[in-house]
Amino acid sequence: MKILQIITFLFLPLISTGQVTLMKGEVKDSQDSSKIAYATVSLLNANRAVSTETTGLFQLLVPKYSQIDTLLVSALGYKTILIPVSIFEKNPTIILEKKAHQSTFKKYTKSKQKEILNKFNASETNFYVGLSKYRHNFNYLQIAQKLKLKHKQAQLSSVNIERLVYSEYPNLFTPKVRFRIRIYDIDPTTLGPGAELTYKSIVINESGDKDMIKVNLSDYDIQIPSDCFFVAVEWLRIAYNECESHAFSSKDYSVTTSVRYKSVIDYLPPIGMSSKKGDEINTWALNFRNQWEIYTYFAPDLTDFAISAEVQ
Amino acid sequence: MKSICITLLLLSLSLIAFAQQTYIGTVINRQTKAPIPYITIKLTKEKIATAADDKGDFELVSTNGRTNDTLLLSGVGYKAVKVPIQGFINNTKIELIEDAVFLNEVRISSNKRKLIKKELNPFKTSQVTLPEQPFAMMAQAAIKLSSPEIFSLLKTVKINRRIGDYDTYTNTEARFRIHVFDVDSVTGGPGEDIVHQIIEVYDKDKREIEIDLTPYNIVIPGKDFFVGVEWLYISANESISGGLGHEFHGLTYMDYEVLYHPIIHNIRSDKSGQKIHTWYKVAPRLPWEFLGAKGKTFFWNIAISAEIEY
Repeated sequence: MKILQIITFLFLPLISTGQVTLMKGEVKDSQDSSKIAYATVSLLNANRAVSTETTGLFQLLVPKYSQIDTLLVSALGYKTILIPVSIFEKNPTIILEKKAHQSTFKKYTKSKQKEILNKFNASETNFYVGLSKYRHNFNYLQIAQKLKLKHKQAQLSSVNIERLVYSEYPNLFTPKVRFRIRIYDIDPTTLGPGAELTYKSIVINESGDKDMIKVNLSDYDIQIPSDCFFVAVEWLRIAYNECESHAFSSKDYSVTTSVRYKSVIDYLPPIGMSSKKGDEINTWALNFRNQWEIYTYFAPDLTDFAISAEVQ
Repeated sequence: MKSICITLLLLSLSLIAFAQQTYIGTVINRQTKAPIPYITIKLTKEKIATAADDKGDFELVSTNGRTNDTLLLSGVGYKAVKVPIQGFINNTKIELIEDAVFLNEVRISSNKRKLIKKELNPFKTSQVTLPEQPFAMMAQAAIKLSSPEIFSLLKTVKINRRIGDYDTYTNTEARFRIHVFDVDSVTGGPGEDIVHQIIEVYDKDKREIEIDLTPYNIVIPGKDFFVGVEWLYISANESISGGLGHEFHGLTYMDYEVLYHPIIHNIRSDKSGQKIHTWYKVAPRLPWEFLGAKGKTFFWNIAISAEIEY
């Protein structure tokens, strides 16, 4: 009987059905054991990622499960950690440690001068990121738009984001989405997103059918220290945001196969690309390994996301 | 002496083996330094070609050991670049310059000549229907057309496509290639390319695209020929179609479909027993397939028509 208990205990974090393995776990704070919502858990070799629900729990379906894989767990305001799967199998509770308090930025004297950065034309937004395409599964956690100020130092007052929404059947259902906005300083070495400019969680709940999402950020008191910063959209990889993309597979099919679709679970909302073309690519994306890379999928035709910001 | 001979023989053998040369490189945009996917890389004399992958990387294996050949890099929206193989260093980045010039669409002029003009495979808008499998996605499709005379001049090609006027589509822009083939004597399907140039077409938002081919001076050698379309699976052609969302356990579930322009219509004949003249290729390396082959249940042709002069 005891053996049975041990066996049950051993297999608790893993339920395997055929070739697909379901990993279950939770993410907690090291100090008060409180649950951490919207932490990102990614399995590196399997190239899968999921966010924790508001309960701090997560479940991840893994087609190519391996015990020598590694989990990368990151959360806003916490230190990112790596856990070997063999250790996670023994203890599915992941403990994260809070990052040291952010040094508060000096408040800049507010002037009435306003500036809108990366202004885009919403009606000309025809291309979107966030969905899986032919030869391109969207395996990214965040996208970030590089924004340049005319002068150094400013306060971020609002952000406008264009998303894809079909309002053909507004009475049948309302597409609900929840995502998070992250603001980053520039990294002096990579020139990509660097330090977080706010540790506050800016979660946007959108249940209407507007394609332009306006976010007032004046309450968050976000100070930009240099003349360049990043506005990022973080997809919350939770059940609430799941959608299905039917794209075509890149495999060379046999002559007899007539259906060539692949169905991939992606997360809402799809974010627009600005129709304006610039001299340089200002689009960055955070991969499942928590590394920022230049997002060149639409290059050289499109160089900016449909994300604009108003600063003071 | 004998051993020297053998050594020499072995050496020369190894030289023959070394005649196989692999060219590896990456194609990037000169302005943005971003990789350019799907650029065609061709050895002009050896007449072999490959395409760069989605990261701009390519690998081309030459087997004839020529030393005076030239690599030709060409693709949509870029100026072609020639690199002599003597000067080519492996694993280097080759920069291409953007070339925004696309083929203009036709303006029909009504200057009448003594020559006879004829439209092949004409269709009415009432005949077009939505594309079906396998036409939703493939590498190439072509329609067999028959001219009454040999050596007729191919003037224009018309393509009827779906742009989303009665559906939810995001993008309407299409970049694609036109091919003209002769008839393969063995299969009866598309054979060799008659035009030794890449015919690239760009269209912003038209349902019916008309392409003027007179600058190419395409003369059809026989009576039968094929006009085909080659799709480019690049980000600039993609269009997202929103399916119906549905509620599932209190959660909204959205479906999206990513398609690539041009989404070409089918023509269904008013009369029953319409003959099928359409061929397709599901992948670049696969052979052409006949839509009307036994076991296939398709009763339409692809909406491509052509005007000839003879």
